[in-house]
Amino acid sequence: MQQLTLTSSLNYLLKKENLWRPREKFEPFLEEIILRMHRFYYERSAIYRRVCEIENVSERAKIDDLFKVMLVDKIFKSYPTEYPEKEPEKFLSWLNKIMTKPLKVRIEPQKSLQSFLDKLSGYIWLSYSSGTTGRFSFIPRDEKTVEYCIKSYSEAAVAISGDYVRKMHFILALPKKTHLFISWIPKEVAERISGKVTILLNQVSADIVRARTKPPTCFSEKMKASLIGVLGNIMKSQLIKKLYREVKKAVEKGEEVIVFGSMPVMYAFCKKLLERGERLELPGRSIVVTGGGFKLEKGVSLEDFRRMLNEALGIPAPERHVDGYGMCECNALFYSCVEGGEKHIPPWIKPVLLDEELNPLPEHGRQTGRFAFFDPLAQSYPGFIITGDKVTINWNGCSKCSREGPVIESIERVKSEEGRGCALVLGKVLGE
Amino acid sequence: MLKGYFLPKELQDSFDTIIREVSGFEIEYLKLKEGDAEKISKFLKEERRKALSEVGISEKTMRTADKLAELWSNSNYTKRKIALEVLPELTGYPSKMIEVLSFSTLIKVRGNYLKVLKSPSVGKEVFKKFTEIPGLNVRIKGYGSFFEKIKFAKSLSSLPEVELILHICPGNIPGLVESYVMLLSLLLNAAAIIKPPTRQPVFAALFAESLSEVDGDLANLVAVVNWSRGDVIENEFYSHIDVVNVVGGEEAVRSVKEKVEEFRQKGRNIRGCYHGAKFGIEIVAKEYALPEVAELVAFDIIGYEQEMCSSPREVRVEEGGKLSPREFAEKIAEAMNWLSRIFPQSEKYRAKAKPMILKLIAEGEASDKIEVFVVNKGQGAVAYDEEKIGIFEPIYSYRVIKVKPVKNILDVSKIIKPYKEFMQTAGVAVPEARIIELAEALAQSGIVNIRVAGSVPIPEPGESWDGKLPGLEFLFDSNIQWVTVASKNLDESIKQNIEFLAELKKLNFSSSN
Repeated sequence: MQQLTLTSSLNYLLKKENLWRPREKFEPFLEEIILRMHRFYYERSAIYRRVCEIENVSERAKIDDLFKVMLVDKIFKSYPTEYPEKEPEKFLSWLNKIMTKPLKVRIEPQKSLQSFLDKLSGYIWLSYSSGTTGRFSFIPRDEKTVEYCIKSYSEAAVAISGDYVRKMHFILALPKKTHLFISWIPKEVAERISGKVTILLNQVSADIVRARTKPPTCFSEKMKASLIGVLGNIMKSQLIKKLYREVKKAVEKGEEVIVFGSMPVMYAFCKKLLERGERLELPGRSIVVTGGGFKLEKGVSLEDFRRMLNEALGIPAPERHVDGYGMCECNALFYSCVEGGEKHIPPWIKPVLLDEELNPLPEHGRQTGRFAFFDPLAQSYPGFIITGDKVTINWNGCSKCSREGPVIESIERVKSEEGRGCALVLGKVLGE
Repeated sequence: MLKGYFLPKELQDSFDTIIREVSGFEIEYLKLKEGDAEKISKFLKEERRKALSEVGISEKTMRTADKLAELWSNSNYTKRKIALEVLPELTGYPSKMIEVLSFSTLIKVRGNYLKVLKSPSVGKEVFKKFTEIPGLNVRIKGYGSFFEKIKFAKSLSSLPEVELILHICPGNIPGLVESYVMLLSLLLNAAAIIKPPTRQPVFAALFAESLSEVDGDLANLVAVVNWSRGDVIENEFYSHIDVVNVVGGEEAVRSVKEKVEEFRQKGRNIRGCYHGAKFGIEIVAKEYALPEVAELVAFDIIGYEQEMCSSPREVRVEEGGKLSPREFAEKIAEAMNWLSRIFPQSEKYRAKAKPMILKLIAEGEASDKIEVFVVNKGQGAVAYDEEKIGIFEPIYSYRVIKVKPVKNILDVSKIIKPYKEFMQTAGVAVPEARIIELAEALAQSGIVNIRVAGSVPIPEPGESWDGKLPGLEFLFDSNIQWVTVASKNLDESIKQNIEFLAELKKLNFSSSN
């Protein structure tokens, strides 16, 4: 029998129906694809191969050995320059060592990071995620990976809510043009699912995001950061005004909508409505989708937020509030199901929980460990990644719905150990 | 079953206990309730008062320190054996590391040293130049304003009395802080409450039991007690102590500072001594850019998995020596290979090192100016970096480090200056003829301890503790910054350390044969 091509294998996996098929059926197939991807990365990514050499993992390794060569997510922020736009050659040389297919491109130094990303987007789609340090993780996605990523997000979204969302109007409290992953991917997914999409902001440049997240090191940077802070607040209040206008329009028309926004934006929106004593009950099966983590005002719990959603927009949770957990490095999002609110891991990703010594934990019952994943959809960079999140997975699956596969029950950041290493705590201060 | 607490004999049956499992060991802890902290504190103070009226606590402590040192030097001593069996499991450090580093340091705390601490013969010259401390292998110099110097002299002439000191101990250097602060408190005629680290609550209790074997009266002035931050008894202890000395990470220090402030506002006159997070650096002069010195540096890197405040975060090698800085980096990695056979890195620490090694590999793959040498089985890595020469990168740990060239060792002072607030130790391989000029320069950038390469993880009696004089800081405030060079002759000390490491190397070969 002829072996399926990688593309057809991945396409076979990437279907919403597969969320209802027993995991045991998929596991050998998925593992075979992961092994093929290992050989692919080994052959093409210099960094991945070097790690394999150190760990004594050969090109013909078995699946049980691959956890040894998973890369930490920090790899994607290990580029040798603070300002990629000023030193493009250095940055591209780094990128080429990570990527599975080197870029043959020469880019002149640019005045802004955004223009550097724009220039590069003719060759590779470089999306980024920001931490609190202003040092972005850059993930290079080629055309194939971009396609798999959008398809993966879309199929899982439809699987989690239902086919009816294909007819809905998406209102996205996001910028239209951006390389920020958390803003870019929802727009692509909404366009793929329904095509009827309203995007509320025009553009947020990478330079603004950097200035907002990077701790200022000198007076001029401080001034710039505070100015951008003021502008950011203006932008946020404009965004909420636009969101109000669009939501009101939908309510008046009785149109079913999917409203997507980060939790802080949705929280601010609901708060504003409630302060004004106003309620905009979203029609029919409308859904609010949030992502990007639960980062709200001090003292506000997730329950408080959900109560506000219900009071301000008539959205009960979990039935009509979907929250997603994902990361820039991963081509899948783990959506909470509308039946029980558990975050489902789609069958095209193999999750792994690691203990303190980075050994895999058993895949049964309920386990808590460092979250890692084998993502075979990553074609242009190694997709076997260890995250900085401590996650509880219930391998028995969701108790509230009929979808198969493990679910994520809780997520927190891995804490550095206080009091052990004097300097390590300082590392945290320095944002490493 | 192991004990995670110690109480004077009379109190031993007065409190409830609870057994918890830590890393596979059953450990018995005190289960204190409201009123218990007061009971313990009052007992210790009363015993102290009695001891002071009957015998001199200070003098007895000096004699006892010698006996304790003898006990813990004896490889057949039961408590030492227990510690060597338990601590590796609890800390993740190999047993040999605890033996070679922790035990060899704690047995240095002897009567003659404590005597010097109690009555330092500090003349005016100590503020002008590095001055030898008689009887110890240390030179010291104090930096401060004229006013601070007068204030210091005045405080020294009339030392205040302290009844009870609370010591909060860190988990990164098993045994050292617990034993040291216990003896320091007694030396100052004060009773001591020791709060051991959560991860390793055993050593403080073992050492207090040793103290009890040697001198029951002194042991009546010591309690080893554990509690969680925020427990009711925490406030009770703070209501009775005069001084709190915290050694640990930023969070622990910040929390104690807040607590001290809270009690001071309530009118309690508590003093806080804070030993928080710090960085170290290793500096190699061109005269010592030699293979055998690279081995000393490797030893310093491996010590306590770089978790000590003094551990080097970066190595600077002066250009123009027999080995180039790049060659020196390679030699460090080679030495780490054989040292890792004597001090194998536990899986737990290997897992912590892995992200840092991967980060270095990614940097190295992307730049022709960075070369990475990975140690055996991923037990650390050394990166030679010619790219980021102008900056100090104190972010690596767990046997992972960068080596960078420097034109002149004096330039290091400028490079580390942005981190002045956090700097503590420089491990040096520098000729005696150049050390004072370097020490003066480094003092301007926050370095307060200068140790000889190859003995960075082994503190020397007489050294300053984060710029303070050990013990005296518990008695009065002073802004004098004390800088010490832990050698009277650098060339001689380097030679000795090379010989010490050669002996250790034999151990490697005998164990591998």
